[in-house]
Amino acid sequence: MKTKSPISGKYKYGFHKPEHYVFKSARGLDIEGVRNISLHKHEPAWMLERRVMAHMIFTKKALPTWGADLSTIKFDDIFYYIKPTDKKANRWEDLPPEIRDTYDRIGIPEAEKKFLAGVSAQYESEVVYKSIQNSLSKKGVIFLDMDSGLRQYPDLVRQYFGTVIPSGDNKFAALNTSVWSGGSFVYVPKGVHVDLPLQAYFRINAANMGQFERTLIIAEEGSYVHYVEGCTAPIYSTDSLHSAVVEIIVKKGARVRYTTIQNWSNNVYNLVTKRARVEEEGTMEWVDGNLGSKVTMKYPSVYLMGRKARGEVLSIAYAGPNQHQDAGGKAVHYAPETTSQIISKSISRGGGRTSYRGLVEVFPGAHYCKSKVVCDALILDDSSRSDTYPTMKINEHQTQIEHEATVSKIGDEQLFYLESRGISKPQAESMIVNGFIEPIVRELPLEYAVEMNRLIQLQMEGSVG
Amino acid sequence: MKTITGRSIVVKKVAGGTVSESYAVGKNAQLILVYVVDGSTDTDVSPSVHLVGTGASATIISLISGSAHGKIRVHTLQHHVASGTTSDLLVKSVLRGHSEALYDGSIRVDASAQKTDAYQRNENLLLDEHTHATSSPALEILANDVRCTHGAVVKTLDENELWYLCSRGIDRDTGRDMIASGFLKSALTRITDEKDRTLVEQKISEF
Repeated sequence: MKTKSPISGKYKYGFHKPEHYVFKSARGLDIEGVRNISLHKHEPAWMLERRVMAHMIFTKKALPTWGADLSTIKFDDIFYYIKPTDKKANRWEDLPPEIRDTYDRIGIPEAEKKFLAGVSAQYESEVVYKSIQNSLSKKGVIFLDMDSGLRQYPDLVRQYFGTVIPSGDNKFAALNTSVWSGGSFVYVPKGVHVDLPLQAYFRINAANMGQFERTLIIAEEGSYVHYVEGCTAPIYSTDSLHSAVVEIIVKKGARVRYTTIQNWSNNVYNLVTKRARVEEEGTMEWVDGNLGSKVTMKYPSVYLMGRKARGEVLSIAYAGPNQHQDAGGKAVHYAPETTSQIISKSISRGGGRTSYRGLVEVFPGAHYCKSKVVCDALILDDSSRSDTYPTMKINEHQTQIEHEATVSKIGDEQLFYLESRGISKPQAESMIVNGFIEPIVRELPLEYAVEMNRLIQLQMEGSVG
Repeated sequence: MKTITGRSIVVKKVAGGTVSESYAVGKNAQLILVYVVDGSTDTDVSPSVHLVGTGASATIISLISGSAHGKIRVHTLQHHVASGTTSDLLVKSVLRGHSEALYDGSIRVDASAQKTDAYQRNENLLLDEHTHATSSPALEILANDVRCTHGAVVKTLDENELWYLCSRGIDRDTGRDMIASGFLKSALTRITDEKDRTLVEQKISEF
C-alpha cells in the first residue's frame, strides 16, 4: 500500500457512543444489586437463587495467582447491569472519520458497518434476520438471546445452565453467573444440519455486546451448527471488564464449531470461560482470534466425555503496545479413543506480550487417546515478549501425546528475498505475518478471513511505517 | 553456583534423594551435564544453568528409569543472560510399575540475550498401566532475535516395534527392555562431539 496509513501506532480504533439507558444499577456489586437484576428481568426463582449463590462464591474466591496481572481491576467501580434503550438513530456520517475509514479499509459491507457502528441500519438487517429466523424455526432450531431463551424455554435452560461451567469453577465464572445479561441461546434438534453460520450480530432484538454475556449451545445427536461471535471491526467499549461464560453441549455424533474474533478496545479486561462437553463421537471445534483488549485470559476447553469424541482448538493472538494476550486451550480426555488438537499462533510487537497457556489431561482408562499441541510465536521487535506454558498430565499409559512450540522472529532471509523483489519492508513483514497465521485464518468464514488479513496489515503498517 | 570456564563434562548418577545445583557458564565455555536417574524411590533433580558469557553453550541430558513407587521430579532452568548463547536440554524417562515422572522446566531468555538458540525436550515412555507422567515445559522470551523450541511427548510402547523384535526370535520381555534402553540411550546423540559422547558412555557404563 503506497499511501501512508492515517492511523498512528497509538490508534486504538475506539469511538464513543453516547449512553442511553433506562435502567442502570449502582456502581459496585452487592447482593441487593444481584437481586435487582433478576427482579428487573422477571426471572424464575431458581435463577435468582443461582445468581445469589454465585455472588457468594464470587466474593469468597481469590483472583487467579497465575496469568496476567489483574490487580488493577476495580470491582467496586463497575456498573454490573445497564438496560439499554432502543437504539438511537445516529447517522453514519456522524461517526469520527477515522472510524469510518477503518471500516472502509477493512472492507466491511455498507449495511453491516452501519450496524456495527451502532447507527440505524436495522431495516436492512431486520429483513435478513427475519428470513434466517424463519428458515431456522422450520427446522426446529432455537436461536435467541439468552434472556429471551430463559423466558421462552425455562425448562431447557434450567436443564443445562451451569452444567458445563458451574459457578464455583473460577472467580469470573461466579461473577458472570451472578450478573449475566445477554449472550445467545442456541438449540439444534436431533439430526438437524444448520447450513448458515449463526452470527450473534444478527440478533438485533437485544443488546448484543454485553459485558457479562452468557451463551448456551445445545447440539442434539448428529446435528451440526457453526456459531460466530464478534467481528474483526474494532468494538469500542466503555466497560473496563468483560467476563463472558460460554457453555456448549455436543451430544453423540454432533459437531459444533464456535468462532470468535475479539477486537475490544485497549482499555478492556477480557476474562472469559469457554467450555464444551463432548459426548460419544461428537466433535467440538473452537476457532479463537484475539486481537484487541488490554488483557485477555481465555482458554477454550474441550471435555471429551464419550468414546471417540474429538476436540480442536485453533487460536490466534496478536498483542500490540500495552496488550497482554494470555490465551490457549484445554483438552481433557475422560474416555477411550478420544483425540484432540490445539494449534496456537501468536504475534507480539511494540512491547506487547503473548502467552500460550494450555492443558492436556488424560484420565486413567482413557486408552488409545491422542493429542497434539503446536504453538508458534513470532516476536517482531526487541521490546515485546512471548511465553509458552503448556501442561500435560498423563495418567494412562496407552496414549500418544505430543507438544511442540517454537518462538522466533521474522527470518532475515525471508525479508531479504521479498525486498529483493521490490517489496517494501513493511509490506513484506505484513505478508510474512499473514502467511504465518494463514492455517487458522483459512478456517474462518470468508468475509472474516479477508477482514482479518486486512486488519493485520493495518496494524503492521502502524508499527513499522 | 559453579562457574564453568573452558570445557566441562559432568556425569552423575542419582538414586533417591535430592540433587539441586546451579552452573554459570562463562564466555565461550561449554558444559555437558548428564544425569542418570535410578527412580525406584522418590528422587528430585533440579539443575539450573545460567549462560552468562557470550558464546556459552550447555547440553543437559537426563536419563530416567522409574520403577516401583518411585516419584521422580525433574526441575530445570535454562537461563540465557548473554548474547549468542546456546542450550540444549533433553529429559527422557522410561516408567515401569507404579512410578511417576514430573517434569517442569523453563527456558528464560533475558532481553540482553539476543541471538539465543535454545531447545528443550521431554519424552516419556510409559510401559505399565499404573505409571504417570506430567510435563510442564515453559518458555519465557524477552528478546526478539532468538530461536527457542520445545517439545514434549508421552507415549507407550509401539506394538509394531515389539512385534518386529519377536519375529526375530526375541521374547517379549527382552524386546521391551531393548526398546526401553534404546529409547534412553538415543538421548546421548544430542552430544555432537564423538569423543565427548564416548567419554560420557564410558562413565555411564561404570555406574
